[in-house]
Amino acid sequence: MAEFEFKVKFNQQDIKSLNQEILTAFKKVIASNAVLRDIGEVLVLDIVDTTKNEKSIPNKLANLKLLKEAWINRKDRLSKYNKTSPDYEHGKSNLTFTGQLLNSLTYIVEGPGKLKLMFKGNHSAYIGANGKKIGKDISNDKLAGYVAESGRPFMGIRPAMRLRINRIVKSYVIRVLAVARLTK
Amino acid sequence: MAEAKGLVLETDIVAQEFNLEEILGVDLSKDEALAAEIGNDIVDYITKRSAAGRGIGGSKLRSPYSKEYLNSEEAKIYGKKPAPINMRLSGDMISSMDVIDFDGTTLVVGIEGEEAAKAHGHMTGKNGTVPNMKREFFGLTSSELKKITDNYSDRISALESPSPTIGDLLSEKDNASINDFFNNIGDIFKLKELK
Repeated sequence: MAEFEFKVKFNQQDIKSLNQEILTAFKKVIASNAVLRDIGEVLVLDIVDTTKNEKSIPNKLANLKLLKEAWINRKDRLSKYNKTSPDYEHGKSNLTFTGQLLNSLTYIVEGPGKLKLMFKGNHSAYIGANGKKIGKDISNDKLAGYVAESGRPFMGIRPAMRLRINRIVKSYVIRVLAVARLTK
Repeated sequence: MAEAKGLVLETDIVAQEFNLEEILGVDLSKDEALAAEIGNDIVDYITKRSAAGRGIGGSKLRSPYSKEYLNSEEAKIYGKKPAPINMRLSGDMISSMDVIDFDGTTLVVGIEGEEAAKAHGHMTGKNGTVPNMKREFFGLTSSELKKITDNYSDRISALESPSPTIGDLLSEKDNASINDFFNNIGDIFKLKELK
C-alpha cells in the first residue's frame, strides 16, 4: 500500500515576513485540485519510468536488486504463454513482465492538499504451458507491498521531481497573480 | 565570484535548473532531443572543466587537497596525491552527473541519489563546517552556457518563439517578488509516505 500525503511546510522564514499577496495566491494554489492532479501525473509517470530503468527511488536511485537466474529463466519460459510488456527484457530487473503492476499505479486527489498514490485492480496470475493460470490473481496493491518487502522498493519521490513540483506550483502562482492583476 | 543561476544544493540533489525557454527564447517542448543534447554537453563541459581543476566560470578550485583528506583510508586506497585537483577519487561522483529532468521548458542537470551527498559536501564545504573541502566544481555561468548553446544556433533559430502566457502580463517586479518568495520559502513541499 503506497499512500502519500501532500503537505506544505514553511521551513526558513516566518510566514508574516513573506509577501502576503503571493502567500495568499500560494495557499490557493496548493489547495487546488488541478495542481494536485498535475503533481499526481508527474509522480506516477516518474515512478514508472524510474522503475522501468531498473532504479530504486527509495534506495537513492541505486539499481533494483538483480533477478535470480531461476527467476529469469522462468520468466523466459512464461513469456511464450503470456502477453509481455514492451518493456520486458531478458534478465532486466524492472518489475515489468506483463506490465500489470506498474500500469495499475494511479493517483487520486482526496481533498484539499491531499494526494494519494495507489495501485488499482487485480494482477492476473500468469498463464502456464497448459493454458491455465498458475496460482491465483492478487491485488496489485498487495503485490506492490510484496515486491518492496522482497528487496525491491520502488515507490517514492525522486529529488528532481521535488524541483519539478516546485516549478509547477510556481507557474500556478504566477497565473493566479496575473489574473488578479487583470481583474483589478 | 562567478554566479551559477538556478543552482540547487541539497544533500540528495545537487543540480542546476536552466529555463531554456527563457534563456533561448524558443519553445523546446517539441524538440526534447535538442534539450537532451544541450544537457549532455553541459555534463561533458563540467566533467572536463573539473578534470582541469576549474570550477564555476573557470575559477581555480582550491588546491592542494588537505592532509586530512589525503590521510583518509579511501584516498590512500586510490593513491590520491595533493595535486592535481580533479574532483575524482573513484570517479563515481563525476560520472553520476546527468540530465535528470526536462519538462518541456526547464532542463535540470546534476547529481541525484547516492553521490549527491558527496557533491553537496564539496559545493558547500559540508555546509561551512569543513571550509577546506569547499570546491564549487558544479554549475555553469550564463556565459559558459551560451558557449554550449551557440553550437546549436541553427537548430535553435529554427524553433518557434513560445506563445505568450498569462504570466507574461506580470511586471518584472512581480516576477522578482515571486522568485524571492520561492527562494525564501525553502523546502516547502513534503510528500509524506503514510504507509
